[in-house]
Parts: sequence; C-alpha cells; structure tokens
Amino acid sequence: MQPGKPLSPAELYRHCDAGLFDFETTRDLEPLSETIGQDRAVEAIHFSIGMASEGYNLFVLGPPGSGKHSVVRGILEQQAAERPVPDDWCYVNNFSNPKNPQALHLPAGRGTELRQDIATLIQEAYSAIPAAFESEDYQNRQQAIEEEFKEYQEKAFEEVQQHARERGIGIIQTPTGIAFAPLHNDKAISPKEYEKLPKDEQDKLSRITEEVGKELQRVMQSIPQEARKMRARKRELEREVSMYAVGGLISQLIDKFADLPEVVGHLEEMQADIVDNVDVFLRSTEQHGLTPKALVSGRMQGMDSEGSPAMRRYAVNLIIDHTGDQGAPVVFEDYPTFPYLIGQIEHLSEMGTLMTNYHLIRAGALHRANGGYLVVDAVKLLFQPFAWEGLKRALKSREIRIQSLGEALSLVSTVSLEPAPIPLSVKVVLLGDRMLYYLLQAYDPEFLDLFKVAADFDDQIDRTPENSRQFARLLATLATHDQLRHMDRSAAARLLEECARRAGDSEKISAQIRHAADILRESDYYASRNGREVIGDDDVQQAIDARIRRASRIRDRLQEEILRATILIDTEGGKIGQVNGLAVAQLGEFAFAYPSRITSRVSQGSGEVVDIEREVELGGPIHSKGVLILTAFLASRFVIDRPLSLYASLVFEQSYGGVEGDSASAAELCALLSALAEVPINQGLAITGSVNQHGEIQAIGGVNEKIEGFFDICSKRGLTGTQGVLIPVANVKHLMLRSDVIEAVEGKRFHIYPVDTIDRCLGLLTGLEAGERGENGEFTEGSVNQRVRVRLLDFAETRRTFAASGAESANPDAGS
Amino acid sequence: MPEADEQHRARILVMLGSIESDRAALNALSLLAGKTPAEILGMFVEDIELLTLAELPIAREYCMLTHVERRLQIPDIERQFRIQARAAQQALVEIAGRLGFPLSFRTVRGALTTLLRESLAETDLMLFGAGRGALRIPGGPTRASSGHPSMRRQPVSVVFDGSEAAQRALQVALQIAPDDSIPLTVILTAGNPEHLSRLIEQASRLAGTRSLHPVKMVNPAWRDVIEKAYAQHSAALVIAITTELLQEENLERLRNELNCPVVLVK
Repeated sequence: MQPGKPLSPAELYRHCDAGLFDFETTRDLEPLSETIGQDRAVEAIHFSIGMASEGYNLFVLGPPGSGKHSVVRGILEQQAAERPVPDDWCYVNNFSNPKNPQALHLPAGRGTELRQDIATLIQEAYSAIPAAFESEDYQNRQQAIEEEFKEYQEKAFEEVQQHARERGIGIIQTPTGIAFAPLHNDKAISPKEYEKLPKDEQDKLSRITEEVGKELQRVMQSIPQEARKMRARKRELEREVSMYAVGGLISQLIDKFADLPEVVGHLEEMQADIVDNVDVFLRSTEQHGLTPKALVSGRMQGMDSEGSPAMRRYAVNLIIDHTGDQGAPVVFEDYPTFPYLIGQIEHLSEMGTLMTNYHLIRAGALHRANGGYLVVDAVKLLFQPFAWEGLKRALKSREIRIQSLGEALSLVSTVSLEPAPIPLSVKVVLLGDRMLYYLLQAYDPEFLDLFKVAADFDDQIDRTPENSRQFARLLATLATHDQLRHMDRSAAARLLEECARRAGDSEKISAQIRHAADILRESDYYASRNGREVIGDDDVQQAIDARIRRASRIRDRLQEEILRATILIDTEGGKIGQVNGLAVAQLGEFAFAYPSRITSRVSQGSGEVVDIEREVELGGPIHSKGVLILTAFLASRFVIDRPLSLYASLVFEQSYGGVEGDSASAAELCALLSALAEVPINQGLAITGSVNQHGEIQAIGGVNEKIEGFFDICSKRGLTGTQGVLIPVANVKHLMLRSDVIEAVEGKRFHIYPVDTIDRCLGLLTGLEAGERGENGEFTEGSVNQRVRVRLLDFAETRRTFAASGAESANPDAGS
Repeated sequence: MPEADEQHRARILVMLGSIESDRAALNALSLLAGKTPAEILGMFVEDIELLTLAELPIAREYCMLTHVERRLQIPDIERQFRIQARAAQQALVEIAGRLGFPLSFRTVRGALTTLLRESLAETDLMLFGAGRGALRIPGGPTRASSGHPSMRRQPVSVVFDGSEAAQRALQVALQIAPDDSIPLTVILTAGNPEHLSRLIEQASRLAGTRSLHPVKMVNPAWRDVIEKAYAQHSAALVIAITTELLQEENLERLRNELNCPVVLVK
C-alpha cells in the first residue's frame, strides 16, 4: 500500500482460505467445550469461582450476543458438579414465638424425610391421642379428679348447710345465687312469724343469717381456687396421657435424627407443645377435611387452606429440597424481583383479613442457589424495585432475611412473620453490558465491595489460523446443538469472513456468537430450500444477502432520493467549497452509509469558523471538536504571522437529523481549503477520515459501509472510472468490502485511495499540487496551499486597512 | 308411654324453673321428643317458696357469679323470673319448631311438687330440671358437664322395679339412650334378692341387644334410691310415677337433692 495510490483488489478483502480447514464438513469436528478468544474473561470467571473470600462475586460484562450466558453456564455447571450438594432448608413452627419461624437445615434429602416423618407422626397422633383419651383408664382418672373436686365442693357446701341448719338457717337456690333465711319446722319462716318474734330474737336471727352468709362466702371463695387446682391436675393428666400417646412416636424420630442437634431440639419442643395443646388432635381429620393420604403426600406448601390445625402447627415447610441433586446448584433467575430473589411470605384472606403462617414462606432464588451459584441479568435486576438493594443486603450480611417489601417500607401493617434468617454462602454472577458495569462502579459505592471481579468479554477475537479453526468447531457445535445441517469448508470460510466484516476488521472475528449462530440457522434454511444436505458458501451468501435485503429499506429509500436528485449529491465534475463526506447510520443491527454534501463559504472576518451544525444544535461535541481542530490547523499552517481574518461556515447540506463524530473533519477541512483557494473539488470522489492539528488523517469507523455507500450511488448512476473514496491509511486493515466493489476496483472503474495527510487529500481531490512550504516560508507557487495563504493574507490586509480607516474616522486629528 | 298414632300425641309436660339449671332437661327433651310424635306443654314455675323467703327483712342472697351478698328483694326475684321464663319459652319454641311439635307455654306461680301433682292427669310424661342440689358454681364442673368435650359419656339412668309403669319408664329411657354410645344404667329395686335376678332378665329382654349397666338394690327406701341415682352422675333419671313417689316428702327429695333432670313416666 502506498498512500495516495489506489488500493489493489487484494487489499480490499481478506479471504479465508478454505484450505485452512482440514475437514469436509463441520460434522467431522469435535464440539467446542470452551469459548474462543475470551481467555481474559474465562480466567476472571475461574478466579472469582476460586476465591472464597467475601465480595469476590462476578460481573460478566460484554456485548450482547457474545455468548456470555453459555460460557458462564458451562463453567459454573462444570465447577458446581465438583462441589458438595448443599443442605436442605425448612421452616418449622417456633413454639415459643410463632412470629419467628425457626429455620432448620439438614443434609440433602433428609429434609424430605423429616417432612414425611412428621406428617406420618401427625397422622398417627390423630389416632393415638384420641384412643388414649377414650380409654377407660383416662376416663376413670379424670372422673376421679372431678369427683374429688365435687366432693370438696359438696362437702364444703354441706358443712355450711349443716352449720346453717343447726343454727336454724335454711339455704335455697335462686335464679342468680343462693338465698338463706331462718327456718321454722324445716320451712322458711314466714314474714308474719318473723314479725311476731321479740326484737332480740329478730336481731339474733339477723346476726346468725349474716354469719352464715359470711361463712358461705368464705367457702364459695375457696371453690374457684380448688377448681383451678382441679383443672391443673386434669391438665397434668392430659399431659401424661398425651406424652404416653406421642412420646414413643417422637422418640423414634429423635433417634433417627440424633446426628442433627437442631432437629432433635425442635422435635423435643414439638413434643412439649403437643402435650400442651392436645386439643388439636381431639377433633377428627374428617372435620378438618384432610385425608390421611394428604397428610403424608407432602402437600405442605399447597395444603394450608385445607390443612388440619395439627398440620398447620407441626408440619414442616420444606423450602429447599436437594433430594437427588448432584453437586452445587446453579440457578439462573430470569425474573429477579425482590420477592423472587429474597423469598416471600404469602398471605391468605380469612374473613377479609390477610393472615399468614410459616407454611406460606416461599424460597427465593438466593435460597435455591445457596451453597452454589446464582446468575442474574444485571439490567433485569436493576429494573425491579428494591431487588438490587435486597441482593446487596443479603450479600453484605451473608444471610437471607425474608421480609415483605410492604413491611420493609412500612406500607402495610398486615399480620406477618419474621422468619429466622438463613446463612448465605453463594457466588453471585451478574451479566450485563459494559456501560452498566461502569455506571454501577461510578455511582454505587458498595458495588466494588461486593463484585470485585469483572469478566470482560471481548467484542472481537484475533483472526489467527488457530482461532479460525476453533471458529469452525464452534459452528460444528452450534449445528449439532440446534440440529442443523453442517457446513462444508467453503461455507465455514464464508461465515468466518462475514464475522470479520461484522467486526469491521479484516484481522479480527466478531465475538458476537449470536450473529454467527443466526446466519448458520438461516443458511440451513436456504440449504434446505436449495435441496442441499450440507450448507455451502452460496447458502451462506444467500442468507447474508437476505438479511441485508430485509434490513435495508431505509438505505434503499435514501439512495433512491439521491438518485432522484431530491438529496443533492454530485458524483461528477468539480465544485469549489463542496465535498462528498460519508455518514454512517446504524439501524438496529444493520449499518449502512450514504454520501452527504459538505459545503463551506468564506469571507473576511475575525478568525471564526462557524460550524452551522453546532450553532443549531444538530452537531454533537465530537463533531464540534473536529471543527475546532481544523480551525487551529488553518491558523497554524497558513497565517502564523498574521491574525486569522476569516469568517467561514461549514455545513452538512440537507442534514436534518444531527451529526456526530469527527470522521468528516478531513472532508470539512478540504471543503474549507477549496473555498479559500477557490479551487474546485472532484465530485467523483468522497472522503472520510478525521484530521488532527498537524493535518494528519486518522482512522474512522464504518469504513466498509462508507465506501459501499458511495459506490452504490456512483454505480447506479454509472461508474465513470474516475470515482472513488479517500480513506485513512489506518483503515486499510479494516477493509472487508463487498464483492461488487472489489470487481469494480479490479476493472479500474472505482478506486479506493488510502491517505495519510490533508495535503494528500487535497492533491487527489483538486488534481493540483497541495504545495509545500519553502525555505522562504512560502508555499509552492500555484499550489492549493499557496492559494489559501494568499487569500488569508488578503483577508488580513483588508481587515488591517479597515481597522486603520476606522481609527482615522474615529480620530480625525491623528492622520494630519 | 302409650303407643303414638296419628290421633294420639304424647303430652310431655316440661316444668322449668331456671334456664341454666334446666338446660340439661331441655337436652333430654330433645332426645325424648324426637322419637315419637308429641305435644309439648311448657310450664315455667315461679317458686312460691322463694317469694315467701324474700318477704323476710333478713333474707339474704349470695350471688354465685360475683360472690357478693345482698338483700333478697321480691322485685329482683320477679324480674329474674320473667327473664328466666322468656328464656325458657324461647328454648322450648326452638325445640318444638325443630321437631315440628305443637307447644303451649304458661307461667305458673306455686310449689313445683304441688303443680306436678296437679298436672298429672293431663300429661303422659313429666320432665323437670336438676334439683336444687345441682349447684352451679362458677369455675367448677357440674354433674351435667364434666370431662373432655369429646369424651363425655354420661349415662341415662332408669329406676326399674318390674311394674308396668317401670317397664314404660325403661322404654322411655331406651328412647333417650337408644344405643351403646350412651350408657344406660338400670337401678333395679327388688323386694328380695331372687326378685332381683328376675328383674335383670326382664330388663334385658326389654332392652333387646342394647347393653345395660345394672345397679342392684334390695328393698330400698326412696331416699336410698335417690342417693344411688345421684351417684350415677346421670344425664337424666327416668322414674315411673307411683303412689309412693307422689308423696310430698319424696317429691321434695327428688326436687331438692337430685343433680340431673328427671323424667316421670305415667
């Protein structure tokens, strides 16, 4: 490549030599178990997994479609398989404080055992306890207690009655109590008889009546106390009988779970509670609408509404069951809301009131992933209210504390629970794009404390022979996984070339595996339509062309308007102060470019180059920067010894949607110099590239699309053989141009010129020598640069003259 | 109890004095009247003795609920009678409505034993509540409600001496306690031991497959019979009406000492 000279066809496209591949079809290849060219990211993932210290969670960042999910899944599942299965977790009633359900953990699989064993125990207790209470033995002992109390009660009452009778006082029941009055012949004395009695006798009877009343009161007041004692004894009897009925059942469980002290502790508490609340079992299961089958079928999580009181009180809510699992869990949470992440406490409506119990505690993704790995999409996580805060809190505290959002925010005051927190040991993997990662890093001070490791997936990988072969294996893996036709070598090579084009670099391959996979699937479709067993390169090309066709409506409409001269673009002749720039539009995944007319007008002024785009706020900051750079270049190159007495304007004609980037700064500078030098620019050429203050041309993006955009217009108008595009030398390595462009170049009907300086651009665009500054400080006579300098000196002189005449006018005496 | 047919409904006189102490009597009525067409004759008895007592200036009443002693006042007692009568009527209306039986109700002031004798001619069965011996003491169990709710199995007791009236009484007892879920205690009163065994056979024959719990008494006095019945902690006591029973002293004893509702069978 020689700057200023047209590029050869070979420099416009780097073919993939099918000979690089030693297979007939990709079916012959071993599937790829790892990713390609993402060593840095893979190392980071392994590092994070290996680091047991707190905060070494992982953020996997990279462009969409780069295979982050599958790579992370593959590595995590591989690692998880080698780790132990974590414990089962369940919530059980906290008998001393039911608002704080107790969390129990058991080795994997034993949670189910405990749940079933307790359900069976409850079922058996429903038989054993009523049987014990129906026994003659119990009945007799209970009756004996009651009898004893009754005897006490009667004896006390009879003593009072007897004592009263001895003193001539009778006792009779009234609707609300007991009445006592003097007797005569075993009958209550009549009022007439009473009135006939002497006064002292009446007083005596009155006194005795009062004394008997007091005695009765004393006796009666002692009865409730005795009744309490009696009830306590009955309660003790009930406890004794209950213990007899269930003690054996629970002892068996205690023996079975003797290696788990927490479980044993709970079973002991449960035994004490059953003994204290035996009434729960003294109603039939039919009364509760619960069949014995339901009791043991493990429907704990869904049975609450139909569950018996005993089940509600004693059954186990197994929230995490690792029965049959192999290795540690890898949980992908697709819907990371706060409750789905942290867990939740559901409520049931009972008589219009929201009620809950420990059976309504639901596990979240953190519970399921505890002891293993949790993978969450960062954007989805951040979109869910309080989910990010909840996750951070859990990671910081290293425990999962289930709390409803409403409760946490004091929005509702429903009766709720505070389940005991569960210790958390999990490696969290967030997946997201780079912007999100850096935003979190910048704005969340806790982020780096919790996510110390970043696995940064590259956008592209080197197009080395080894990576190319690995790429072919990736295609084989994808084809096998999706049960697609396999590719022959030419097809694999063509797809690799497309991925290089996608990367915008002939020396790289796009890391967007999704793109390759999509084209593979679409190629399979066309191969099917074409009746082929194996995908060929023309199937791939057909798929690529179809994709472009589907996405290119706007590009085609834009080109149509240029061809119809609605949008003014010249592709022939010369114009002063007018050049063809090239703009790229990105519509979703499809990018295209189109020529844009850039014009410049100049006049004498105060050294100001006006970027009209910026003035009307259609220009972005990078574009404005480019304009300022070219202003500085202008002043420093041409009129270092004079004030820059210029007014110039630059504009993208018929541009209404805004301009950003500095890739047109070289074009703008050329238009400006053309206007100053009054030298026409060849409209058959377009130019792209940014310029620095020294006039050097720098690389830009979208070079392939830009060339093709101008080529399409020229081609449709008819190639003249003088048309072409000037591109920065630094962009030559990025060229992966369409075949029709290459063919035109081969036929010398179109030209691609690599340029490295603004002078080289001026030479090509004007057909004149740009001109070099001689020892005398002047540029070559007749060159573009010389003409520019002369014009600027003229402007400076004119300005000076104006300034002097203005001063004289202001001070008439000065010149005399 | 006479056989019921379409023309004849058994007339059951229910004599109530206090709704609380008579609740067990109402339960017994439900069981009894549900078996055969009947007409319920409700009678609330305003105890004349109590009113007489209240006229005494030194008569005192001890409230069982509050343990407070106060002067016994006639207006208070009358007010309580009215309240109790309304409650008794309401309870009877409910039972009669449920069973579809005709009901008449009246409030009568007098002595229960006197009224009982006076009503004898117009009824087939008489039922009155627990006597004054069944004191209702807050905080303690009563004879009518002891034990665990699901375990309560108080017997129905019947006094059986082999007479025709006693046989009818046994039939009534079998209606109240038709199967073994309610124990049936038969208090056998014989003139001599030989008679006892015959009575057992006779009662068993009448009961059919129904099991009986015999309590044997030889030549007992009424006082002893009542004491024995008291000791059974019965849900109800069924007794045939005899001349001896209708003696004032015996009726008083039944009224004053028994702790369960009493069904008298003609």
